[in-house]
Amino acid sequence: MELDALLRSLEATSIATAIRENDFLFPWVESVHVLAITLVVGSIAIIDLRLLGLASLDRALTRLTANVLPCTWTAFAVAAISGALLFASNATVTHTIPIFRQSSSFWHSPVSTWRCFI
Amino acid sequence: MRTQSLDQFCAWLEQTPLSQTIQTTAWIVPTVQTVHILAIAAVMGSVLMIDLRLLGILAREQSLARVSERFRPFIWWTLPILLATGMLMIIGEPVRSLENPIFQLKMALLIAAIAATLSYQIPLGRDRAFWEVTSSRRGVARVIAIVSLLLWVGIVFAGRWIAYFDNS
Repeated sequence: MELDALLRSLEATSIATAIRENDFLFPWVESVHVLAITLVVGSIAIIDLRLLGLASLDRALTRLTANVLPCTWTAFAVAAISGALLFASNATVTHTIPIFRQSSSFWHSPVSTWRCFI
Repeated sequence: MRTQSLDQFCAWLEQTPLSQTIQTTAWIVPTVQTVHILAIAAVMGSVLMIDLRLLGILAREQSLARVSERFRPFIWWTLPILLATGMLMIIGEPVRSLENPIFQLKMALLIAAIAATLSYQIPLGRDRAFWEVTSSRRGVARVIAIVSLLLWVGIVFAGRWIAYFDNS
């Protein structure tokens, strides 16, 4: 199957092999990934609470988004890159996990929401 | 750090009915972990906003006192949630957490991070302009912000690394 071949070649790349085989690389990349996710969720929550009219009401939405969204996008980029590296290190196994399939399709909806601001 | 009395305490804790329930009910640990990480996200977002303001990078049109007032409740109200969910995970697996050097480091970092947070909030509570009146105070505020960010990042990293120093 074509997908299997693709995942196998992804897994065989030197960076994926290094992450899989080195004792410390996987936890480091994973820690960066978790940190980035906490910053994505924590910062986008500030915007969402403002949109809901629950917090930061003394600041104009445009001011708030100008300050906060660069943090969100930077953290998102870091989360996406580190997530891709973690996926690559174990591609043939990870792609079979049902929860993983759902979470990677879920992120399309927040991304399209954020696009309203840029 | 691993002492005989800590060993005994962990052995006792493992046998309590609550610990047994956590160990044998499949959904408890993942659920508690999910709440724990969402609470961390709330703290990290708030800490980032305050620290970037302390550094003079974000929201300069607003006073530090105003920014701190807005995000401070998210830090202090979320810490009890983190403590409660963290304690449930400890009760479920006392040896894996309490006797783990990375967990002990995480708790030391947490105490330091709380101290760093108080070190700018207490003066700010007495005088709203405290950190903005002289350039030397602005310098100190920047140092506190960098130390605070490093400590909170260290806490998140340590949280993940507990799993890789499994000593149970």
